[in-house]
Amino acid sequence: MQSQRELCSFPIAPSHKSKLTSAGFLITEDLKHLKPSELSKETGIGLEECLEILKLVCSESVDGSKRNEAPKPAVSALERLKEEQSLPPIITFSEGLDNMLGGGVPLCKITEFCGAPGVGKTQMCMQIAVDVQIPSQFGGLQGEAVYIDTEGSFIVERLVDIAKATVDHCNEMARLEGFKEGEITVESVLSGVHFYRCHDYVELLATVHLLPEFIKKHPKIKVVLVDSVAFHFRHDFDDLSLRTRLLTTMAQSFIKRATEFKIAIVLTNQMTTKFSPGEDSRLVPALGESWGHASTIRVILYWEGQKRWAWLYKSPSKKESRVPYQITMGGVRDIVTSPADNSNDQSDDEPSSKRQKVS
Amino acid sequence: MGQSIVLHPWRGDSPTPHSNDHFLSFLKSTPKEGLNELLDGGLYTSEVTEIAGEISSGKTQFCLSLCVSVVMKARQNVVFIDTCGGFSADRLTEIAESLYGEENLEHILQSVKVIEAFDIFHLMTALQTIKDKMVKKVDPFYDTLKLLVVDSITAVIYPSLGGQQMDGHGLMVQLSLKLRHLAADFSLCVLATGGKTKIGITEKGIEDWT
Repeated sequence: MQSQRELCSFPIAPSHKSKLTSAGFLITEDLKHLKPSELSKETGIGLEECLEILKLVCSESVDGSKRNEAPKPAVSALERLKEEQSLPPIITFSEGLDNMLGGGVPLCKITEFCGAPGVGKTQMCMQIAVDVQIPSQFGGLQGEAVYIDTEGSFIVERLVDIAKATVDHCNEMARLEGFKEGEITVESVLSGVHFYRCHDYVELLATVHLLPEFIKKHPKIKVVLVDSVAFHFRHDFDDLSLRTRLLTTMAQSFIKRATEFKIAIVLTNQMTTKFSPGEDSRLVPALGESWGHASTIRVILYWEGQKRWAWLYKSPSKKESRVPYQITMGGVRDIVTSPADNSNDQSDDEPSSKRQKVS
Repeated sequence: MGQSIVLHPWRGDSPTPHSNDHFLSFLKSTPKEGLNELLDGGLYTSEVTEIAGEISSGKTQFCLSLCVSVVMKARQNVVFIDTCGGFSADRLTEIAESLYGEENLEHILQSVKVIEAFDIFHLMTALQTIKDKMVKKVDPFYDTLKLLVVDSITAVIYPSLGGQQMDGHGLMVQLSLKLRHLAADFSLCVLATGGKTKIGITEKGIEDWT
């Protein structure tokens, strides 16, 4: 038996809600013993829709467990702790970065990488798309990745480079530890990345909407990457109110999928300049403050001196910190510093014209 | 809503906060005496308190610390409704262990229940469920429930706010009423976190500037 609940707190279409209200149905009790045909006659709503409404409202009183969209019951923090500890993170190949993030990119959360152009966001995404496929005997997740490209910056040859380096590394580890080599190959890595190219924000929203079906068909998926989420929302988007609504809806959709399927969501964001009166202008992540609250973990990538740095700006469990990293032929790596080594010839295969100062 | 607190993150290299907002330096190891003064004695029950702040200003951390305080000092239970994925049991453990040691850890973790609700309708269902459990008195956990945290409330309200329909406003008001009733009827302390927005008045009318 459930106590009374207003009908307008259910997800019913606004037109139906107004018809229900004008016919005098305000709380669940009012609909209790009605048949769909009776409801349809009283309110003027179509028969099928009446059936849907009654199913929605009345099945709630039977524990709510019949609806597959029903919220999960409350769990104690102790059980949550056990759940969190049982989900391994996705390791990047940079130990500094992994330590900063608490082991790697975590599952069931949204991680956002923000940065100016050229700092390595796409490289990071490609690295993660490969790392999620590392076999479990090497501490990896042995999963697959969904890569949603909105900017067109995805280049397969680069993914092949990163895959080759990772495969070589795995085979090397296999040799040292006596495992079978060839568990992971460049072909298997490439076929484990499901690629979507979205040309405008409608395509992006549609892809995100269809994600649950896709993930159910490919249960090995462990990460969804979107590079970048800002692109289509920044150009020619006049209605800022609509933008906030779309972005926040998308964010909630992402966090739902992340916790439902126990996957990691990785997003990249661009930077924009913020002008404040009386202060210097500075670079901040794009898409505004409301978007800032969407991601669980935010990492800002920037240049300082001659090095790339990753700054953990927002995290639910780790302290704010910064680590340097580099982009090599094989992907994202730590910077190997040695006192006698002034010129890292391995680092920064980007031309020096790309180096920018981030204020 | 009852009281409002605005948190500003204080970073060494960021510009100083505006002088007419409340400025809070959030240090995890200090007790919250300054905050208690600011709030005229602490957080009240039978009231809904809102914490607003920028990203990474410490809202969730504040909520987690408060959960631990309520369990250990007031000896009451807590329900944490997570709408944005920001709850970290790991971090709660860290806070609990550092303040009260390992021996109290299990008790603290079992006195905090977590509910996930990622859209406004799930949140309403969750609140209804809590209300039912408190009324029916079958679950002993809810008999000693004192604190209800909703982190964050803006995450579920933003998707429906604005645009041509006024539905979003209706849902927001409903939600606010539900929270207030829960607080008042059951003498709970309800804490809701949100983001800051500036409301601007332009030719288009009232707009949200985020």
